[in-house]
Amino acid sequence: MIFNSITFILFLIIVVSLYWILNQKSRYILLFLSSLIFYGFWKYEYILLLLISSLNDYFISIYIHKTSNQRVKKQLLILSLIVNLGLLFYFKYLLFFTESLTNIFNLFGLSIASPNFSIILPLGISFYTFQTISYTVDVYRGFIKPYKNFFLFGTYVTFFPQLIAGPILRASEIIPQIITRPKFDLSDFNQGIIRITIGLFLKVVIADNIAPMVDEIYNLPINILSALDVWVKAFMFGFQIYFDFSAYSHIAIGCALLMGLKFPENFNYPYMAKSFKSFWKRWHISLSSWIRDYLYLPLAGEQVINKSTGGIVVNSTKNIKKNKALFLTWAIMGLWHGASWAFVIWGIYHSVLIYLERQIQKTTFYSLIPKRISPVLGWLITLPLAMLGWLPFRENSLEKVLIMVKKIISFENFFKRSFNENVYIICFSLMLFIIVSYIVEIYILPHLRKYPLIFAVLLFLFLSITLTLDLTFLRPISQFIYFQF
Amino acid sequence: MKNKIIFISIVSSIITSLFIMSSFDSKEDFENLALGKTTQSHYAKSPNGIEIHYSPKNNPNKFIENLSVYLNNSTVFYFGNSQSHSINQKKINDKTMSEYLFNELIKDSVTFLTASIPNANLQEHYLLFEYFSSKIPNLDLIIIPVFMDDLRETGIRETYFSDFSNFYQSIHDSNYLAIEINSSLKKFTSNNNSLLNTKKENEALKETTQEIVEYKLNTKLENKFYFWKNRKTIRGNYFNLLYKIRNTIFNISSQSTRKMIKNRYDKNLNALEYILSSSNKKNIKSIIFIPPIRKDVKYPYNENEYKNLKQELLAISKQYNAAYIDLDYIIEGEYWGYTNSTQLFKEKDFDFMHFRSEAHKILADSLMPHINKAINK
Repeated sequence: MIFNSITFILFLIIVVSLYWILNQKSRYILLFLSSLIFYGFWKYEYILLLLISSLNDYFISIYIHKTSNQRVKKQLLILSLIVNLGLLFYFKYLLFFTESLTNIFNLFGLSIASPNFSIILPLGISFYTFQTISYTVDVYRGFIKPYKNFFLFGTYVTFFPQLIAGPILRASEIIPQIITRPKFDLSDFNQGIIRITIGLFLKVVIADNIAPMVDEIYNLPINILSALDVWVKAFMFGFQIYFDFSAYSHIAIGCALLMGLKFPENFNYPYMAKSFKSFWKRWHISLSSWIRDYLYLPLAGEQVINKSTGGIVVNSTKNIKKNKALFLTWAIMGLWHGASWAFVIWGIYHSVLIYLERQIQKTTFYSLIPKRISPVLGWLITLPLAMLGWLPFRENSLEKVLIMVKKIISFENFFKRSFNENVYIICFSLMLFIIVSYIVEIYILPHLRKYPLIFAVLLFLFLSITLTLDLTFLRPISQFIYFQF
Repeated sequence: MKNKIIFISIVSSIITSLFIMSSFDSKEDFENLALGKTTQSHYAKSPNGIEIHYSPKNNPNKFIENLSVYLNNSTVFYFGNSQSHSINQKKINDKTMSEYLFNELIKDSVTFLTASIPNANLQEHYLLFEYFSSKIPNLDLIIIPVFMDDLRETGIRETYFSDFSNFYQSIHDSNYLAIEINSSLKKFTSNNNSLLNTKKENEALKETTQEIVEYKLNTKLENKFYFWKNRKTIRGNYFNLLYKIRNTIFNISSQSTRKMIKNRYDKNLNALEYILSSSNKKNIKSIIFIPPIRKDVKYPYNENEYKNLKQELLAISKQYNAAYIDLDYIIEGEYWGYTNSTQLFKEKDFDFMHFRSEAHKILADSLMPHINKAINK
């Protein structure tokens, strides 16, 4: 089921109403079954796959906990990883892998025909696979005990608000909340409605309406573009993906809050980050913290203590291992987003930026930058370079990306404009919108909250406008971009 | 207490938003809204009431079928934009250029037909040309006015061509524009053929279990609440408001210079070349011309770009053996009107596209000798 639809609004009202009516045990069943229905509204045949993945980790984690033999524990963990990653590999990477292999063979003169098959990517497979893996790994590490109630575990894996595009949850942060039977809290309920309203606004009013514009500018021949156009292209897709994805997270968090459950935040104004380290603590936080805990730290030879808060930078003395881990982790992070070398390049691009940032921070030059200037300078460097990273992410040809980067570096006809004027105006307006929202949320809202009546009136005005726009634009015209990952 | 106040404010805002939405009951046609208060759209008919001016909102096959009495004649086809289907300060019995030319040419057993779309770009004309040239047996001449304005537009629009693919599948050519247009048509067809004909609105649900539920819920809401059905118009109003806000902020009026958008400009001129090349292959003669523009006040083109366009059109006409005419000066200021203001807090603006019926007559008279020359009458 897709959030930006009238079906989902109705579904949510029914589930939330039943949730508060039913007793504790029935709630597990309600959440589990409603999550399967939610998933089945996409393609009901794929519910089975979801169940296989869930049952696999449900049983294996119980056996891991039961046995005291460390070797058996490890073997069971490997079995779980093989099943989870095997399914992910089959559905997401098999075609890519076969194509890449064919290309390599062809490169060496061995003529092999390109693979002629297609596989439907099950919605949310990258997300729920990471959740099941983290659950089993956490049981293996002894961070959590396995849950014997399958509905409870099933709810953790399939919980509908986050099933398709996150936030990627850890069992320790959601299952205890479901078990303790949250009491109805009007504050959470209010927040839930506000978050859903904001999320729908970002998706149906902003992201969906800039999408055709982004499509058009990415379809233009690149030879006509100036350096300014390339920047605008990068920024426009950067805005689209941010509004689209953060919209999903807002709605997911909002839905959970309606049921008194608290999800971790997934975004925190990433385009206001003053460094790349900070960017990855603000963008898709649940993924970067997952990658850090389950991939980067083990690869860097670090001990994992418990859940990290995002970002994958770590202070360690094992520099060589750490750097290798950094690049490898990021390549995998890129590949997680999609089965294409462009995503790998995107991942490596970010690892290079992080690596360079680390090196620069060690220099004396860095320490000479006045403290008052460095945040602004950091933002002015981080923002455009992070945006530039979206080019390989969106463009389907690496060759095109290289030509565009060349245009930027050579300042080719810098200010020549090839797009409709509206594109430049909208690009500028969206950047302004993010800056103003950031200032309002960080500096103005905390003061306003001290005056409940004024706050309520302003909230009324804000929500009246936002809801009107949401209702007017609510239509499942496009999927969330992260569904394809 | 604090939470209760916030809850009340949330509930009130939900009620208010529903109230705001239901207060929009605009049923005005967007085409007329865009033309302004003093200009009306008018699609020409023959004296016996047969449509001789095609609007892509209609069924093209029916348009051709109804014309059967005229199709044995030598036929001239004019591909225009809203200029050809609009009359400023329209009075009863006022006619458009299409009617004047039809009435005049039919005396010599020549049928004059027109197809026009608001802001029509030449890629859309390419599609229309391919369709009509395959349906009209004695198509001898095509006339294409090339508006500097419309060269800023691009692609075929689903609003006008969503059903077109049901009647005419594709352009039988392999050039890049034909491929692009055909792929758009294919997309429109797939939207039309989706499970419930829910078209683009439910694009993300295509081939999912949710599609049917969403469709049923939407239909129920549309039947129950007018505002739900009216959402498309409301969205249009919002965009119109945004457009006006932009124009007010940047002081953009109908007189502001509209700079050429290079890639769109090139693509449209390519489309023109494909039309002319295709018409040559089909032994159809062609006239391309610079249409009239208001010249008593500053007009919205960049002088150099406008001059370049004329030169490029002249070169294209020579290359494809088409006649080229410059008619940009023929309509005096008095025959032009005003359009709705494109800014907030302003009532009207100069209209550079639409003129009065008298001017339609002048345009028809100016074209007449060239038509006669082309078809050897």
